[in-house]
Amino acid sequence: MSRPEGENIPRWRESAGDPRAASARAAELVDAVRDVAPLPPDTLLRIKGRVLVRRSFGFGRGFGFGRGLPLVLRLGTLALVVLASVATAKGTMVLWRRYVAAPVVVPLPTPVRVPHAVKHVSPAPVVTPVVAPVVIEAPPVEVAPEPVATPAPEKPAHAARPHRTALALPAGPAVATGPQTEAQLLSGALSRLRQAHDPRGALALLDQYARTYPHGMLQSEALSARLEAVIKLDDRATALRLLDGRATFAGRLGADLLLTRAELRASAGRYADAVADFDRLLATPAALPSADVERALYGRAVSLGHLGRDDRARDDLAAYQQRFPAGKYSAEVSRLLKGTGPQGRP
Amino acid sequence: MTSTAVRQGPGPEDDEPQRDSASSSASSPLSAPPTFAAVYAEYAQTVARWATRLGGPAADVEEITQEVFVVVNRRLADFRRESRVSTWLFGITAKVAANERRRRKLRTWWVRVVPNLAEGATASADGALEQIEKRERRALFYRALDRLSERHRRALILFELEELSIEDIAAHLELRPGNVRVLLHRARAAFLKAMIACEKEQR
Repeated sequence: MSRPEGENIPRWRESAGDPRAASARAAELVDAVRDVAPLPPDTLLRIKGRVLVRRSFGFGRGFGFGRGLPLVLRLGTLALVVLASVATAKGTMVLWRRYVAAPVVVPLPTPVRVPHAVKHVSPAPVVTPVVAPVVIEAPPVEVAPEPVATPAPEKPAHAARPHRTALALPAGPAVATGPQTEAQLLSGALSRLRQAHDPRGALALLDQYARTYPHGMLQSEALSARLEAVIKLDDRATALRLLDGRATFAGRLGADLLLTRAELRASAGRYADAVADFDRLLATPAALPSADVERALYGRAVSLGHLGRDDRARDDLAAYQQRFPAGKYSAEVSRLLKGTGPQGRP
Repeated sequence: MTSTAVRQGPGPEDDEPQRDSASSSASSPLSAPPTFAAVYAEYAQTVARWATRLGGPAADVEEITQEVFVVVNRRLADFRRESRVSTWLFGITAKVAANERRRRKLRTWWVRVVPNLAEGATASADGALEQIEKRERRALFYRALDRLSERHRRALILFELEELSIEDIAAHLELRPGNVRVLLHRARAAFLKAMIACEKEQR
């Protein structure tokens, strides 16, 4: 490595100049790093041994994973990894939507209290066929209270879907035309129902919701809204049909729907079914709001009276009077209890 | 200069490998290819020195040297002998050292960097004050060097530390001598600029 004659770039450490100049300082730095200790012979031997061992055992083919593999295998592995990642991501998304994202709270508009749609469904007094003729009214049907703020982790009511089709109304001007999210559609329907007091417009929007989101995550809320609209239209038969096929009533919303179904069944004269629903509700009274317990107790007492099971009816009436002395039905309950016949029947 | 430190440069021990049996194959393509043992015996120290200089004070010289010779062992049969063995080895060493530097940068935040063996051996022979000054200068040199591009880094090391001629640098970098002069001019200017910036930061 001889130096040619024509070389005209002086090295920093060879150039004599101002010691404060940058090149002089650079020369000092070069001097500081020029000395390099050689590797000891045993280190050289160790390195050589490791190199030969890596070569002979075949795992010294490269510096990274897969360097020794043919290109096709490497590409295949990469494709498999990508496919697995995509599949995992898709699966995670499905699971997320199914189990985690399902109980979404619907962003409702201003929670406006709606007056109960139907009260005293059976205004015609029914005379119980017992010794003491006691007049008992069927329990009033009340719409499930809004707003729907509690997540309802229950499955969509598949059985209710055919009825939804039957309820389909011609889409009026209330139906939005632009692309809307699931929550927006439902929110619009509720707004139309509770603020504009337009149950038909709300039903049209709910039909649009059912068409757009046949497996939507807000099925329970949509059913609740539809029920409310149908009851506002005083179409109790349709309301009952909507609820009859439903098997699961989980959560706060489920309890509301079950209570409504019980009252609808009682008003339709299906007392045994109504009692079954009331029993189901009152099995866990601690989980129910006080107002729901009040309705359920009164409804069950009335239904039991119609079925001739006076002892249990009287027990419920007594329980009602004890728990809700100033309740909504307290006057009626007092009247029923006073009308107890000689055998102690209400 | 210590007894253990090698005063490297264009001395006879560095020139020799270019003319020995392993490197002479570059000039006679029809001769038998060099064996791994011969290449290792002749160039192991040179590669270690390059690794030290290219990698900086925190470089794991032993690891870099091993990786270089793993590559050499694997590719020696494919070596076309169109260039010198030293050129071929320098190219491999520069790439391995650059990779090692990149990896080191990534892991310095959680792994304590192992100090260079050569640095420790050199420093132990100096006085305490001299050790500190040298260490500071070494650190400053490599801080400035780290701000240079890989091409400038290689050219500067070959010229200022290895003290190779323009022609030899051209052979190592596979460039023409004229291009090397331009490259060196820019590399030196960039280094001085980086050095001044580092000095200002130090103050």
